[in-house]
Amino acid sequence: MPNQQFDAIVIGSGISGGWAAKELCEKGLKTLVIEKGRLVTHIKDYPTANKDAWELDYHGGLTQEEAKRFPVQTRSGFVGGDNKHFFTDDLDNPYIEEKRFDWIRGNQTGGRSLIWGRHCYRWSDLDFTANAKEGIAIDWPIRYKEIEPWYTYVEKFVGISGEKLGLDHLPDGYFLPPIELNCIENHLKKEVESRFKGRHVTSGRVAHLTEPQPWHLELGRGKCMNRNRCGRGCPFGAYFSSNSATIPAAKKTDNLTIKSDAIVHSIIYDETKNKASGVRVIDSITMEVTEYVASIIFCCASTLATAQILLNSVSSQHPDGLGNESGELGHNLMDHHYRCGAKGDHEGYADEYYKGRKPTGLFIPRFVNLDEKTKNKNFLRGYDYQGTGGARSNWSRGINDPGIGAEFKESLFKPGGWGLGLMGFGECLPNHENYVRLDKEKKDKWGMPLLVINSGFGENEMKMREQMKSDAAEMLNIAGFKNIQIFDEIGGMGVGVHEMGTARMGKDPKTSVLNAHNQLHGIPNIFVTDGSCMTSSSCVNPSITYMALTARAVDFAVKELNKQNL
Amino acid sequence: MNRREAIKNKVLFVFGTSLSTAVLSNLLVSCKNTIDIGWQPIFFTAEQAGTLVQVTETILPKTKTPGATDIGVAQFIDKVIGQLLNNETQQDIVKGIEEIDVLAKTRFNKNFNATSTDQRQELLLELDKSAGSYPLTLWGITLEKSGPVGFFRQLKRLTLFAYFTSQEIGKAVLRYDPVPGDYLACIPLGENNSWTE
Repeated sequence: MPNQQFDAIVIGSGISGGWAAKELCEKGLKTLVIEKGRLVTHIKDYPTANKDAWELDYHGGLTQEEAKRFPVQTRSGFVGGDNKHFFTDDLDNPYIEEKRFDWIRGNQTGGRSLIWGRHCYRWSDLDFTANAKEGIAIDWPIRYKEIEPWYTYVEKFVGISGEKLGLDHLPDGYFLPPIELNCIENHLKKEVESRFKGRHVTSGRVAHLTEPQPWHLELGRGKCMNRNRCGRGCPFGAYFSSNSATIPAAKKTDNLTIKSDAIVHSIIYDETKNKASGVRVIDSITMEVTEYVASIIFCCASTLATAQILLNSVSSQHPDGLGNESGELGHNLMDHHYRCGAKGDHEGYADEYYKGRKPTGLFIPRFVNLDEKTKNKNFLRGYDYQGTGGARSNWSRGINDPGIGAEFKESLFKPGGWGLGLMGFGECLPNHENYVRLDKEKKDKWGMPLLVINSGFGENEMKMREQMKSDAAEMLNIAGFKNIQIFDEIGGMGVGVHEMGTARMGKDPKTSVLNAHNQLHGIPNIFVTDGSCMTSSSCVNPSITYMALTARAVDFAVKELNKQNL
Repeated sequence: MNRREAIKNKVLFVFGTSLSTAVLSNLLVSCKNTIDIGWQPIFFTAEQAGTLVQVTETILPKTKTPGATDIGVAQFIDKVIGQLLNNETQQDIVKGIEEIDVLAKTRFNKNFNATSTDQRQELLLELDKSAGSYPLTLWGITLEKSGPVGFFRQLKRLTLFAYFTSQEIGKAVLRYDPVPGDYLACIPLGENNSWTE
């Protein structure tokens, strides 16, 4: 069993792992990134990125045979023939659903940063203080002012297009020019902003280079070409992924080693030093077990995988898993609840069109439960909306529309009417009863105990959804949309792909797993900076917060290391 | 082997005897499928494929722009149906295509392929009206509960999918713009067609 020595080990190469790797390498640490999945190299391994529909097998359709490998992944609606290679094979990677949980995974270099929705919103003290104010779960150990400089730091590197709104609860950041709203989105903006005080309609703040800066260009990243084929990997490096940005930056330092096809079995605990000494890794192809040694470990495997690894890292001192003295490890699992809102058609703007397929739509920031005036007594917290399908319909309207024949065919070459959907995304309250654990007997083919998930949305979320859909329908109605259709198909928890909370941060080691620096309370050289660290869920997309917390934690860790505190 | 050879061989095999050319032509006339579709189906029978060609061409006929047959829509459907649709839906479509011929015989006393354009349209429009609708989807997510749709809706979906995602339509009829560059949010449409997506 060969030993291999590094300064730092990062488990996982997704959004958080990529950032940990970049920051550690740039601070001069010899860093090993261990990735469960296969190697995916930027551009080279995006086989469908430049293909038109007719160049794809089955014109991009997913075959029944392929779909059999993805019984869970296909619950998301995101898996197609063009991007199937970036989703995890469910049959090889089983878990147990005591309650339905849609675990959407992308085990590969870059993880889900290749297939993410790319929306980036800062959290605010409305989010960081909510638990404490309402007496829900535990308080966050940090406030906005502590993370604010780190948001700026990561936003500059990532490249976020967006509009400044001056809102306290959705702070502005370092933005590149926003992606413009089209005619129908602008129409909704005018109507909503003039009829509802305190509601704003803006463009999605997304990790797309609308005006690349020198440091983006230096990494080989370019301007967004508005192809909207993001989920296949971007050959222009125009959207942020680990593959296009943080990993290339880390590589430039010559301090980076990536080990792919490597499953972290557990973190090794050295009782004489009360520290982690390294990790135990199974090669997923050869089954060979290797132990890698390092001074610090960043666990960025994703919320559920991180919980699985920590729970599996047992020793006589830590029989229930590393960092589980509080009994909270694996608990308080959250996700955003969505698939709830309304859509409608608009008869106007018949002579208006657009050029290009922009990669995002509109965004309506949270407007409920911000203060006493906006209080809704039925539920705590709030929701925002992303615009969906805010465009003119294409030929596919002809599938459901009645008609056949020459005129029907010719009509489908022209754009159809304008449609717009408002998709609500709601905050989920942390709840100790939502948990994951390891199965005592069942293991996967690599010998990892299966994760058992027992988690679901609660009453607060269900009550919130009633308001989410009626507000969406009301805004569309006031803006003159017709055929308004309300939808509410929640799916399983997890399908928001914003799972969070299994190793929460907190002030008290008795009730939390991590401290204010994402450091395991009991074991100072283990840091957890993926979604598992989250103490509450906000209603906005979490990735940029993981990035900021990761950069902040690395800064802290390296300072501590230099002070010989780790 | 060309298509006519294949039919001839089949007939000869079925009857197990050598038939004169004259008798053979009579057999072909009375056979369900008398048209030469020019390709060998791999999923459908020759008769079903012959009907499928006419059905797809009736949905998307040749005008100044290509028709379904020009694009090879039926052949594409024949190629992908076994892979893209589950067994139940495949069988729905097979049965539906058979049913179209039965309907044509009942109503017009001839095979579907022998009906006039107006008769074909009348028949398929009726099927279209009664086939139900696919549920609302956004971002690929199905957001509505709904029962199964009739076979004609499924077939129409395959037909439109094959046609509008083809190179001929994507590059020469719709506006092909694979790398748009700047996004222009509001521009006049004029007489233009849609962009290829």
